[in-house]
Parts: sequence; structure tokens; C-alpha cells
Amino acid sequence: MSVAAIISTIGTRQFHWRFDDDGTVSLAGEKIPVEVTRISPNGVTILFKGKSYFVMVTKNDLKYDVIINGNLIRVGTEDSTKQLASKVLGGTKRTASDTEVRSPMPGLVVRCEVEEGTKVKPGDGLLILEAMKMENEIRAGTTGVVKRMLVKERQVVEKGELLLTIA
Amino acid sequence: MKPKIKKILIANRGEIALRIHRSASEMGIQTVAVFSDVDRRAPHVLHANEAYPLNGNLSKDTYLDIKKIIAIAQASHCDAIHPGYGFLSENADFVDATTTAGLIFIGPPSAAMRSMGGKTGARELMAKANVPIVPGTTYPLNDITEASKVAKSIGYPILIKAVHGGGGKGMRRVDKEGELEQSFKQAKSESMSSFGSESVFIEKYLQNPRHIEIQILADSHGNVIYLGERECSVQRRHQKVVEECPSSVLSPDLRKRMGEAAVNATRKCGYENAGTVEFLLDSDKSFYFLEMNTRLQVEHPVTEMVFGLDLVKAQIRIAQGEELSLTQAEVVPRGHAIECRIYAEDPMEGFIPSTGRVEDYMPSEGHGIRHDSGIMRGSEIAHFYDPLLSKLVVWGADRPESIRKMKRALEEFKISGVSTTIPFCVFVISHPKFIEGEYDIHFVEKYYGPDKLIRNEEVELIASLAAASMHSWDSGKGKDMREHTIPSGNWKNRRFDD
Repeated sequence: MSVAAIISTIGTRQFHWRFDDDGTVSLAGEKIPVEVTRISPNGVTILFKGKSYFVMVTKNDLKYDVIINGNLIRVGTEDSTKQLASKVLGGTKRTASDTEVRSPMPGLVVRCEVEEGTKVKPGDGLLILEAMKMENEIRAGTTGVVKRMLVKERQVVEKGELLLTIA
Repeated sequence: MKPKIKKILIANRGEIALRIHRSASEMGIQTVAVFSDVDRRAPHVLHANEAYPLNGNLSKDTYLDIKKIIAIAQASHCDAIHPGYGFLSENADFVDATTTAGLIFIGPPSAAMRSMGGKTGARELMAKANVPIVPGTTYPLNDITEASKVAKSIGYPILIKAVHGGGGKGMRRVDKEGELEQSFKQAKSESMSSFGSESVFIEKYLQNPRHIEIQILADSHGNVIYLGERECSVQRRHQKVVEECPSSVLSPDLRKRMGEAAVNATRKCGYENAGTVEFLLDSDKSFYFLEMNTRLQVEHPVTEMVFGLDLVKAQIRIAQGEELSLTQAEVVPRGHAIECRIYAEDPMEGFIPSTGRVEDYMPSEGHGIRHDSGIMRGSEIAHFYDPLLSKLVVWGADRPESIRKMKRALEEFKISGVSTTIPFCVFVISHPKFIEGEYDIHFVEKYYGPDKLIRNEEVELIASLAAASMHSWDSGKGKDMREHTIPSGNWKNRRFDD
């Protein structure tokens, strides 16, 4: 019997879901009376204790954007069956590595505000990206030194493209 | 009497191009769409009677290319061009090129557009017409000594603004003399890089104003009427997001005075067609001319809902020389309307533009709802143009009903594949200050943050379940989970039979 165990994270709250092949849904080991059906590419209908929810679930980078009655909840998920396995094998231990800064949207690099070797701290501007007639500043989320600068001014970048690394 | 217009080229894209097509079509007028490469399958192209490529994607190669657009209009035997809003709509050279080509421009004469185009010129003209302007200069300031003198005489805080500016660029707020020189320099250089002119002027900074604008219609026979106001104070980055008509703070007397000031402004610049006079309304209820938008506004539908008319049809009739079909005395408002602009932006990440493919698309329906959209399921939202996807407009018998209807409509609106401002609009419409009608142009900066988006325990539980389910389907767990089949046949029902 196959099983899927997924941990959903919203802010600091974690939800341990488990889906068994016989249709049973459990939350933190407890069976939950709920029915979940996908009815369109990202549309999911949920019946929970008689209440009906029509929810949109869109993959947004590594998270899911869930829209319920016009409210947006950004949910992180991870497969905990996998996590368990890799823990056993000792594979999840993260080595200290460079922080990658990727483009949050497709656009045009208008201006680079740093170069290789520039010291940065959280909130410092890294570069200006133009998309949809607007200029958006990409800021550092971490302290360090710009190690590799992979784009230059006037370059067109895709969503998710690696812009620079901070070490 | 000019001959009737038979075929219009719509020099725009998105929801406004489709909105213009609809009115033209109802009048028995043929429409010609133009499109960039990425817009080939856009609804404004699909619905038009004819469509021709502009070849390219950048605005300057497509929707801003005067030569290409005029050539298509001539080759397809159009007799008029409607510019929509944005793009070429306020470009007086485009108006001249259109009329030189023997075509009717559905909008004001180029002279009126030019006289309202520069902010200092417009301020000077308005001062002469006895329309109140924000205290400050009616001429560009060149040197810092002069700027300092002016700032001192009107009193800090002041605003430095670009003469040819817009959208908050080239604009600086200065709170005290010590900051003036630096800000003056910055405003000049920003204005130069954004608008190709370093002309700036100074006006008094109003602390907590509202943005109220008056819709006007002027025909070529000298008739000018005003169609009430629109309250547009809910703005982020100097861009409107939620608009309503009527405003909750205008008394009938104030409305009349602002309306008449707008009519004066319109007459003074020799205006014809639909236009909007924007005012700042100070907390003491004094109002000041801000600028005139010499085109159709994005938010025009709220006026249409309340006054029961079609502004695009009125524009076309004026352009073909007809007299206005109603007098000021016949202008009667009914009920209340709200518009929410649905942008492809991420409200949790400082409104950065969101691109992608629209996967699900089920806009709100039902009583009192109007939805002007430029997209459909499968649309690719590209980064070339303005991120406005659609406008959700509701009409209710009074303001409370219209607020409740908008909340319902936003909750019902289903779209996936791109981030939108719908959750932000839910925040605005549910906020006590909005419901009380007690807000000014600082509403968003004062009250909004991503942490303010509405949520509760149960919503979070359901969201966590929905995301976990999607994760398990995406990773191919369970039976037949990889196919995106509609309807649900292949999708697994996870049921607890108890």
C-alpha cells in the first residue's frame, strides 16, 4: 500500500498530513473526515465537516499559493517520507554554501548596484530589474560578500535565473 | 454634420481594447485590432472584426509605433482611431498624425491635449480660469536659490514635481530647508531620465488629501456636462487600485462646486470629447486642481454604472460631430459602484509583477457585476506591458450593498497560474476605515502589509491540506495523478468513510 506523507508549513505552523491509498487522510496521526478532489488544473474542492471549499492551488517557486475565498495563504511543503529516508542516510545535513540570488520574475537588468567583492547585508540593493514598465529592486537577504556576478546591465533574464551568489 | 464612423482601429490591447470593441460593435461599427507577437491569441484580437500584426513585442515597436498604426488604419480603410488609455492616448503628435492621414481621432483636439500636457502650463491656465490650484509655482524652477525662496514663502512640507512627469517619478517630498538642495537635484535628474526634461516646479504638500476626479463630456457644439465624481484615494505606488462612485465625503454642494470647476477647466482649454479633471480634496474640504487626463480613464466604468450610460459610445458620437444627448439637469446618479483593479502582482512581495500562464479562470458572475477582462484561460501574462488583467466592477443600491457585493465577487473570483491583487482587494474592501469611508491617499501605506492579509485557523488548515494534496499529486503519488484531466474522472477522491 502506497502512502504519501507531506508536511505543510504556514509561517511557524506545521501540519503533518498523511494520505493513504484507501482514501484515508490523517493529520498528525489522527484520521480526518475530509474529501479532497481536484477538478481543474489548479482547482481543488474540499468537503470538511460538511463545509465546502473551492480552492485554487498554484505552484509558486518552491511553495504553493492557496486562494480560499479571496484570501491568499502561502504554504511550504515537503515530502516527509523522503525526509525520513534521507535522514537515515545522513543526506540532509546542509553544508555551509553560497547563497544563490535568483530572479523572482522575467525582465531586464537595468542597473547592477554591486559587483564581485561588494560586501552586503540584508536589505541592501543588489540590482534593478525592469518588468511590466516597473523597476524593481532585488535586495540581499543575507550578510556576506558578492562572490559571483552572473548578469550584466541590459541583460534579459528569465524567472528563476541565477543572478549572483553571496558567500 | 460629419459622416458617421463605420470602422474604428483600436490602438490598444487588453481589457480596454475589448471594451471599446464592444461599444463600437453595438453601434454597428466594425473594429480593427492591432497586436504584438505575444498578443496574437489575446481576446482583443479574437473578438475584433479584423486584426493586423504590429510585429515585435516592445511597446515602442508595437503599440507606441505611430507609423505602423496609421498605415494599418489606412490600409484597412478605417475612418477613425480610438487610442484607449495609456500608450498613445495622450500623445498630441499621434492626434496630429491621425488627422493628417484623414482619420478621426476619438479624443480631444491636439491643442487641448498640449495645453493640459505640461503641468505648469495647465496650472497657469487653471489659475486664469479661477479653478483653485495647489499653492506653488505655475512656471518651471531652474535654480536652487529661487526654489528655496518659493518653498519658504509657501511653507514646508513641499513637493518638487516634474513638469512632464507622472506616476510618482521625478517627485520628491521635502520636509525642511536642509533637504531641499539634495532633493531638488535628484528630482531634476530623475525627471531627465524618465521624461527627457529636467523641468520641475514646487507645490505645497497636502498632508491627508483625497484623490477625487470629475468626469466630463464636451461636444463640438460648446456643450459641457459633468458626470459626478470618482473617489480614487486607494493607491499604491501612486497608482489607483480601488475606485468608487460616488465618494462618501462629497456633499451635494461640494459636488456641484467641483463639477462646475471641472467644466470651467474643460472650457478654458478648448476641450472636446470625454475627459477627467483630477482634484486633491484637503481634510478641510478645500479642493485643488491636480491635472486633467485627456482620455478615457481606467476607472470609467464606475461612472457608467451609476449614471447608466456608455462613455465609449458617447466618445464616438462626439467624435462624429453629434451633440450631447443629455443636459446637466438630466444627469441623475443612481446607487453606488466600486471597481477593483485585478493586477498580475504578488501582494505578499511588495506587489512585484507576476508572469505565467493563466490555468484556471472563472471570474465572478451574477447580479450587479460587471467584469471587463483582457485575458482568458491559457493566456500567457508577459512582462512587456502593464500588469492589469481585468477590472471587477459592482453596482449596488447604496454603498453598504455595493461593498458587500464586491466582497462576494472577490471571494467568488477563481484564477490560478499567476499571482493577483485579489487578496489585497479583499483586505481593502473589508477594512473598517474603508467601510466607514474614512480614508485618504495614504490608506495603503498606513494600513497594509502582507501580514494583514486575512486568515484564520480553519482557513490555514484547509490551505495546508490543499497544498499537501497538490504536492502529493505533483510528485505522482497514488493512482493516475499526473494527468491534468478535466473533469475529475481520474482524480482521486480521498475520503474518510466514517
